[in-house]
Amino acid sequence: MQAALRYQHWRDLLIELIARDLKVRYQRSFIGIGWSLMKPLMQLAVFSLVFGLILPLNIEHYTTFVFAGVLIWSWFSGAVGAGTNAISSSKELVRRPGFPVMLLPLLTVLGHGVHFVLALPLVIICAMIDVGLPGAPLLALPVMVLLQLLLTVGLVYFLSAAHVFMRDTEHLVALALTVAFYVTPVFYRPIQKTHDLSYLNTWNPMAWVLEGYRAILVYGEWPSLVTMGKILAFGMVTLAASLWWFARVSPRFDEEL
Amino acid sequence: MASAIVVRGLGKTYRARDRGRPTSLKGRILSGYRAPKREPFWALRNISFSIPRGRAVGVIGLNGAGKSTLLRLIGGVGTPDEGSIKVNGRIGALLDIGAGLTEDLTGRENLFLLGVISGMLRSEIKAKFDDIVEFAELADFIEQPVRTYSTGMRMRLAFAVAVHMSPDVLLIDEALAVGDQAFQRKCLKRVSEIRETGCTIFLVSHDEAQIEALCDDVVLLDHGQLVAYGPLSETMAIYTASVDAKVAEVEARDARLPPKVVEAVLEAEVNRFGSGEMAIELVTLTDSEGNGTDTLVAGQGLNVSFRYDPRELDVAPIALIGIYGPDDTALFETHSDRAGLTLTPGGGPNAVTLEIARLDLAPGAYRLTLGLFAPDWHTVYDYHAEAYPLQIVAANEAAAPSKGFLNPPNAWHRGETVGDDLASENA
Repeated sequence: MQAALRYQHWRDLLIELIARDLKVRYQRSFIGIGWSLMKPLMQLAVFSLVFGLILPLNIEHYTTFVFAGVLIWSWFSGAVGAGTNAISSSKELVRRPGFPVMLLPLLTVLGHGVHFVLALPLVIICAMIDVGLPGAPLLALPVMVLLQLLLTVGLVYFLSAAHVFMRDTEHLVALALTVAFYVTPVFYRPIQKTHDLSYLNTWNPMAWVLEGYRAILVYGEWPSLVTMGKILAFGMVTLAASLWWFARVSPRFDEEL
Repeated sequence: MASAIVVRGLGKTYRARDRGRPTSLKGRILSGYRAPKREPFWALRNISFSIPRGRAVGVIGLNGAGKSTLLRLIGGVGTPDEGSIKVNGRIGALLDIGAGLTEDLTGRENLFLLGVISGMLRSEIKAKFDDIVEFAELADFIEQPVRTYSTGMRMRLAFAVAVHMSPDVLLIDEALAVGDQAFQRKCLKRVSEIRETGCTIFLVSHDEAQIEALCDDVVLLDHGQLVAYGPLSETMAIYTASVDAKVAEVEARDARLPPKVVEAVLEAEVNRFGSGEMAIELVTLTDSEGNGTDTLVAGQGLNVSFRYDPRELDVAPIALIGIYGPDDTALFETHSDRAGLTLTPGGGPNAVTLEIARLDLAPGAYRLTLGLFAPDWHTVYDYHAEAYPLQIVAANEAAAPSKGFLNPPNAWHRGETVGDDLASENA
């Protein structure tokens, strides 16, 4: 009974707080939530121009390939970037008796996830025009979304808590995300296994995530179980470790803010 | 009878308070990871008490006694370093009222947000929506964005939400002084109603009158220690006695200038301005009897003194002292130049005092502004804007104003004779 009530309350909190963030960002602008699509669309246009026409990478269905890539990446980088501040920018909520601080990092990731999920139909339409109907493997898409959520949330719990105690985290994260964008095959195909630098992709969880999504959207195949297993394992370990640490240090948050 | 709150052997230290701990990468590298070892500061120590269900308990103590820390710990913010706290039932909190409103959202949206943040379910808020709006007196504005609201409207909205959750334990941190007199009275009434439903109330306040009006029992804290816990009248007597003893002790130490040094949080460019060539120091407030205090009974006199150190400058500065209301209205301001007084120039630290023979201000919280200027007014040496708190309490509730800042001695009389006079004049 107690637990059910708490679950309901957490759910209501998430709904209200996510709705607040979305409303505040888009309520007074003309194209509203469409703005969240602008960056990925611009990136799509630039990459299609540069790597489709000027320096051809010769990747088939490059439009779908890169569109999926930039959308998936913008959820990840947006959530990690903003999530690092999730605790330190919510001093008021952290100091409020009874407020579950545990929700804040999840809230940021889900908030950015809303943008991603709303944009997903566009990628699917794009894939349909560019490649053809993805068919049954499309059913695996929600699984991929959940796996990416798991991976991102695990990182964000760790980073948001670290940022409370060391305010350089935010800047380090921004730098790391910039580098990560280029070492992850967002706009190019995964590095050949024989290449000296192939470990940049083979040991990169975001590369696994991209591989999973692209199997469905670009190649119309089921994502490989090995890939999904790797993401799941990595995500679970990260999340468990982050949550353990988060729970340990969260009682000290209010002193540090 | 089951206890609502059980606190056993509670202790809380603040390590981060000293700011000695580097929180930046640079700081960590420079200090080589050696965080400076300091004696831990115990904000609370050895606190044990238990509050039976349905009681209203007030916490009183001087500044820095640990009242707010205790309240937060009971609310589950932070964890104790020693001992344990057990709270049975749902906790509601009335604190930081007005924080957490989102400017661009409407009153309705904010109401839902505040509601879930203070622990209600959306379904509960929906059910109580009309009551809350009615209580807040905002029915006509509820669909307007909060950025168009006045301060009073914001406070009413936040307070209305907070008092409409039905908690088992209600924590209140000096939040009852909200809005105008009528609304305050409504809030107090509402809190009493909540109490009658069997809710346990835990109230932290400086306001003895508020505690006396609401509480059954009182917890007296001093420097993080539990001094007394018992029925209202007895504990309040101990508190008053200990405050008197403190005042007497201070007076005995220095009869000429009872140094009740008023503390202020001064922050450059926020409430402190000036060139810094000369600084205002050791601000003291004394009442007409010479007791150091920052709380006056309306109609009492007030002496404001401060020290200034001319350092290298060999000039006689101009001192300025002002009293400001809660809404930043200047109620009174004067300066030494106007009175034709030349302050002592140069030499060591000098002092200046403004004697106000009687201060007929309405009960409430005011702030003092102090300034030190060059003799030609061209340079501001030091200026503390609305930095020092001054409390005025009523000598007699009936003679205190229902509205406004002035509080001259007054009395009502029935007007038969006046009426007769007028009648005869008119005839």
